[in-house]
Amino acid sequence: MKRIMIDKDKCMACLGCVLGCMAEHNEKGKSIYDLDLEDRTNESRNHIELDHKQNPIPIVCRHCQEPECAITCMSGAMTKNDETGLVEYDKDKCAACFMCVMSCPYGVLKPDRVNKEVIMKCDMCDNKDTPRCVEFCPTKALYTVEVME
Amino acid sequence: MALKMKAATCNSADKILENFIAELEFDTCHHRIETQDIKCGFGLQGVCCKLCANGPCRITPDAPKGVCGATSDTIVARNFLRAVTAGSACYLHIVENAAWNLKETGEKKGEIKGKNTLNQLAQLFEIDGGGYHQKAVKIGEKVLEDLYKPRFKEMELVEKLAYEPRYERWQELGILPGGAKSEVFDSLVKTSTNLNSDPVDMLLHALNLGISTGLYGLFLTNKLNDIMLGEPQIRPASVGFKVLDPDYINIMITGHQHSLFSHLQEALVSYYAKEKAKEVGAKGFKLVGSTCVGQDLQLRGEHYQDVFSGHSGNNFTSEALIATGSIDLVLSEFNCTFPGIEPISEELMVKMICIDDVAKKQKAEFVQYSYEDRENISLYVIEEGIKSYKNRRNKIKINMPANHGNDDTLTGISEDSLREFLGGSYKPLIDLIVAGKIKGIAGIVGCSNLVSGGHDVFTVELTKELIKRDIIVLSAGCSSGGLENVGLMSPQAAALAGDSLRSICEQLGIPPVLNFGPCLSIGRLEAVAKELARILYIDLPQLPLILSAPQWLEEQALADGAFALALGLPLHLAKPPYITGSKIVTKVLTEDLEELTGGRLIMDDDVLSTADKLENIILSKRNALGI
Amino acid sequence: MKYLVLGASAAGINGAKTLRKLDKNSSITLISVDDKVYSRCMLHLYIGKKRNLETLSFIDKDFFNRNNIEWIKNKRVSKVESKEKKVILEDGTFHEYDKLLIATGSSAAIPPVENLREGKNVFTLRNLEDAMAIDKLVNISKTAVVIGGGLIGIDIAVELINRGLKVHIVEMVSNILPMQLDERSAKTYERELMKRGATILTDKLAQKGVLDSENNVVEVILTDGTRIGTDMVVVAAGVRANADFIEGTNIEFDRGIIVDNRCQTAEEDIYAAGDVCANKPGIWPLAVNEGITAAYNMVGIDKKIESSFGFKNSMNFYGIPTISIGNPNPKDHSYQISIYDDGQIYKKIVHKDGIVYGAIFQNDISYIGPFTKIIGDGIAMDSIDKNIFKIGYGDFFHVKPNGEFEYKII
Repeated sequence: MKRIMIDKDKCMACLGCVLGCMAEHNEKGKSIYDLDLEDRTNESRNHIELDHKQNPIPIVCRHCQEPECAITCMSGAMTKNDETGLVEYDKDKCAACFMCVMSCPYGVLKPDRVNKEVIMKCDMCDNKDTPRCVEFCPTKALYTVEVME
Repeated sequence: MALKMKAATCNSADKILENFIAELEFDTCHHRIETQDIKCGFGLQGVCCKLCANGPCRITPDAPKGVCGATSDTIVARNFLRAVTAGSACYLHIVENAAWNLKETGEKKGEIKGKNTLNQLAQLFEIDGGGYHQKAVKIGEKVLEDLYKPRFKEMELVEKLAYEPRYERWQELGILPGGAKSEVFDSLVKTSTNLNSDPVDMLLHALNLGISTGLYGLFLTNKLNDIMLGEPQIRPASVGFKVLDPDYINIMITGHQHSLFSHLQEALVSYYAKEKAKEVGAKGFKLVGSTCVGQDLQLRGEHYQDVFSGHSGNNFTSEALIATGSIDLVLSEFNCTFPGIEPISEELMVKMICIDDVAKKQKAEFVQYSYEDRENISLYVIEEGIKSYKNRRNKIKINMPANHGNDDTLTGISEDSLREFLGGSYKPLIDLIVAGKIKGIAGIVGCSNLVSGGHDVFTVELTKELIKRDIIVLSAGCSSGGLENVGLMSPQAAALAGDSLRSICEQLGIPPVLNFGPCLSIGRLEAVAKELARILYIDLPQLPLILSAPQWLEEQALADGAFALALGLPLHLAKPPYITGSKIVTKVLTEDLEELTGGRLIMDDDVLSTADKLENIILSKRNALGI
Repeated sequence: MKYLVLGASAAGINGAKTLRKLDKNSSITLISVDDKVYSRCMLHLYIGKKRNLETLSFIDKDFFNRNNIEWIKNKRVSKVESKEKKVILEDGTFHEYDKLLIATGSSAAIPPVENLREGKNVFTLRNLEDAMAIDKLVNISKTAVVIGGGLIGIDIAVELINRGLKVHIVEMVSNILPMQLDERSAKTYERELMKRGATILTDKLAQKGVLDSENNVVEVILTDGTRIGTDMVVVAAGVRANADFIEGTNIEFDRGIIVDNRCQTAEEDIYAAGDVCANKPGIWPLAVNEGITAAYNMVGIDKKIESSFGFKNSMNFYGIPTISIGNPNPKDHSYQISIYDDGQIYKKIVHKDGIVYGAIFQNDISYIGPFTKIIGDGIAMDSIDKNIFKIGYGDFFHVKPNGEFEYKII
């Protein structure tokens, strides 16, 4: 499967990945100019944390082999697709119980900001060749590789 | 065996150039755009602020305000005004030097080549009596006096230079500029840390700067230069890399200040210089035009047939020009002199001399120009040209692209030469517009950049689309450098125009795209517009005239843009000028401004939809005029 | 090889699915009392009319077909003959197995309060049938008493209120959701419930139901003498394992089947997973995890439960999400309590000597997953010099060669 790799030492905290992700998932259009940066419904599925040494750490979903989010999901909304390797999220099935948010050990997940009804979950940009976060990363701190599971 | 790979380089409307650059062993802008392809979204939207130690602050839905409380509107307006301010400062620097040169030319009884223009200005400025030199001194002084006024004192010449209805409107809006340099100064104050937070006030200040930029930096620079360097005359000329003749000692000039070469261009064709050149095996000296100052020489080419080999291309051809190996010396005085030319010059042993420290290049020798020292400087340049030619020519290989450019680009068009061409009045052009044979006028101006499709791609495509719709195109700036090299300013280009425009062009033997020369000539376009409006008894916003700086590049272009908006003209940009992160700034510039000055900003990165919008504006203005 | 799985909920379904993933050829049979597969954690949403029979399901429609699993539904197991390796059903039929997974779950119990077990309008909520019965009665009821203010009780109360009922909640300690929340965070929900007309009776115990002539409880009397008239009663107070059928085997039992960390019982080839097991909270993720782990060991791949930390819950009432992990109510004063409270967002972290023991995150639960790991695994954090509320996975960031994350203190 394809996985987004992270070289944290190259991250400059520019938030390019965050913008790319927001742009990709913006219903009003995918261009960066379509992205209203004051509209709270625009949210990214990745984020950058600062570690205790103030280094930026990009956190992007792993689509784990044994995904805690899917194991914990009681509605069948979060599932591991054994063919693509992706952990897929179906918002129509989701019961917004947030067990996945609680269970992801890597703190990747969160509820949507405004309605708190759906999970902000990486979909690898519909499995396209280069996900937008990778495309928007100027330092190549994010890049994709094929990995064996 | 090493494989020669075609490097990934930028698209260009100029395919010969594109292929030439792709094969080069040098790193150019066309290469680097590929490695700078990932752009910061905050930068693009203008919502990054690093005016204080708490920054950089960036606006996101999670963080809608900077640490200080600045909103996206404040941040965007501040960034935008700073850019316009810097651009305005650049043009004011140019007019300031031109005015000093004119004043000294008068004082030292130097040659006055444009006597008509001198008299025109003297009359406009109400300078009575005195000889040519005395008038030149007084004109120079009047300009300088205005530039140096404090902010609270209105510049005197504004009322004389501006079209009357515009002046009144600006007065109502409170955007008449005080001393131009002071306006720049206070704008910097305004946009510093935790000062002005009012986006509308800052946008009005940008318009104020636009007025002094346009009337002084653009219009007056042209006029002062015409006095010193000669008035443009319409003539066909060679353009592109074909203007290079390797048999000469070639001096490439880059910048915007033609008057700084006033002495040199005579000295290079002196008996002395020719003899010195022959001693090292060259036929003589040639000035090779590059960037806007090259367009300036081209515009006045009638007066410099001997020394000026022709204009090679815009800023994004300058690296390639040096890479041909035919350039022996680069003489620069302003932008757009890319830092990228330095390593290529070094590699090819090309001497670099800079004569104005505002454009000092790291690898260039700095020789401060002054009117007083002009003779010594010219001698030094000749000496260094000889030295360079002698030193390098046997060591480097000349590599010229075949068939680049053409020999029949129509040049030398100005507000005065065009009027003369039309028979002493703009009436015939107005008749064609009224009759609908020409739908309207588009000023395609500004720069060249490597975005919006690639080098000159949007500019060329939009121009083609407009002439196809019988809209005549006037071009000034690096845009014309691109348009002429692809042949759109040659008479044969009439074939690309709509039937009606085509037959007019063919009848007159002119191309459908008229070459006004450098970006400074945006001031000449304003002069044309003013004349058209005056004949029709209307204000500028009523004209079936649109402006587009499709591939704007720099802060100067934004100051030009502020002028266009103050004039009340619709202005199109393909790439948004880093403002879309603010709803207020975007709304004011794209909508509300129409109520204030009549102008508005149109941002569109698609050629066809842009052409549709611009054509519709022209049609609706025709409609409003009842034509 | 012949696998037999008992139970069609979280543990059973995931066990069967994993068996098929690991063993493409053997026969897999799943026997359940349920004739539909549905998520028990969402039954309250059926009452609230937010989900129907179809959307209660947590599997694809063609799950059994696609995974080639034989499903025998509507059948109850009466006995396991471990020596003969067969399971006998109540209808007398039997099924042989090589490996057996018991995932029969648990049943809700009605506490020994006078007349409650007799009342026709007294319900628990464990099965779809319960939800359907409650739904029917709600149509003709105006009031309800919910006994037990824990998670299930509040889940039910919220939906009954949504259906327009006037609801009384009886909770024996001083705030609702006492297992998960503290007083401050419970208040948030108590306020929301009361805003919608609920009456919350804390520190109260039900003592007796008053029956009418048709054996409906029409009044609930509390130990303090309070009397609440009602049209129906829902009891949400405790469960017991469904494991009567193991009698006679060597499977150890203590309020649930006792298994090792491979989910194996004391009987060879018999495994158990989910709520039927002893000694842990009955929560969905543990049941799934156990089902998967049991399946691995049943096909002969050694796999241990890494963590059976189950003191964690998330809830989302009235758009206010809360996650509770570990024990957020410290037992004594030796613990340090860090609190963030701006009136909307409330966060509480209980820690001592660099170990976090419990936490509550209310109204901002973004990216808090790592606290589950930190508390569950007892990861020491004394070397992390940072505002405790800002601790995140970034502080433990480490990437394996295949790109997966793991924990490492950096």
